[in-house]
Amino acid sequence: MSQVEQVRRQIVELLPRLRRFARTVARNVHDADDLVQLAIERALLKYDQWQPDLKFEGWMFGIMRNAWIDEVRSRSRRDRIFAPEEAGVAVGHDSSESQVRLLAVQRAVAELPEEQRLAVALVLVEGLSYKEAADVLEVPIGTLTSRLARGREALQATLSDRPGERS
Amino acid sequence: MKFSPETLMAYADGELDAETRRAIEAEMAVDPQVAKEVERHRSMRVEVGGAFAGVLDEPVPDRLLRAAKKTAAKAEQPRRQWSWPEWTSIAASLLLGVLGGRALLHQPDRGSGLIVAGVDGRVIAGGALAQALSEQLSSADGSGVDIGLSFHAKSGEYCRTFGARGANPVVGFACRDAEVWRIDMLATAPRAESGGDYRMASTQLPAPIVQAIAERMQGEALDADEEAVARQRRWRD
Repeated sequence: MSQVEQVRRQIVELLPRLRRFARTVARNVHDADDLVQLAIERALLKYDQWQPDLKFEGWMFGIMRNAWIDEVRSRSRRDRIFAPEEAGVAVGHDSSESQVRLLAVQRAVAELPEEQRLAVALVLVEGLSYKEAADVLEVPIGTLTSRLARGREALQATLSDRPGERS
Repeated sequence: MKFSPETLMAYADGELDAETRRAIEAEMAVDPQVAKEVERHRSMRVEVGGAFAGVLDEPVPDRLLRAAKKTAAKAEQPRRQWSWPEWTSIAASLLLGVLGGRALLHQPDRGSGLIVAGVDGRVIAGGALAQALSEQLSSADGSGVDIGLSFHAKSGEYCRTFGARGANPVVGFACRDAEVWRIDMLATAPRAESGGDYRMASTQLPAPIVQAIAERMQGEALDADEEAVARQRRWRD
């Protein structure tokens, strides 16, 4: 299999996760999928820069993060009021307590400052190690750690004030 | 507390080496505050992860799958694309006779968006072609589309001949139909003989198109002044 075909195959396999990461970055479905599409296009243009010893999702997340910064962010719908139906994940019509809580968590993540939000998304949602996340964000590991710590504190504070908080 | 908050967080995230882990676990055993802090980080990790897990179960939009399969050089915004049956059913009557029915359908550059169809079955100009038909004077050099001549049809509307350059150049003429340009005839452009740029000229229109124009045209073709006036009036009478 040629290198570009390998990259294509891995992109397809990774699509659900690319969409999930994009959702935490862009905060609504439409911008998120635009972001994924742009990242795919960019990845295919420079597929030869991916080395099989690099973790593929880290490479793709890095491309997505750059695409977000220099293209999608400026035209995103970020200044819209964050309505629950635009929250990261469809929740159906279930209004049970756990769903309320889940929405509250999504909202709290969406409201984080971008640097903290990306750190939280990569480590807590995508499960990357600190080192991998720092590489995606192109920052030293200490910077990643402090963004993550601040992000967590902010989430804790927000969620303590919101309905649905576990006592 | 012996360990910094960030160290406890790193412990909860599984980031620490074995020695530090053991030291923290020893601390947790004697200090419930430390244990509680670690537990707080762990439960947040579970909760935040869980809040976005649903995305993984959503169906992936087709456009993303297509983007992953497209050739990189052609990657661009998704556009409406025509399948063979659509093209043949909508355009066959227009194309019939233009090239004796031969192999035209693959020629319009399907990625360029120059030619689209309305819901009512009309084939209409889109993108750069529509813009050139509305804005570009015959005398002007277009970047991708050349306008040959403009004329008044016997049926009353304005029509203009055009040539769209590119890998698969096409020529034809379109007539103003309310707010759009309806493409009444379309054909592959004769190739330039010596590899020079394709350039629209009335002599390069295939004979059937010239005939059709001759039949449709009312009086003479518009001169530059008449064309400018027609453009100002947005090609309406």
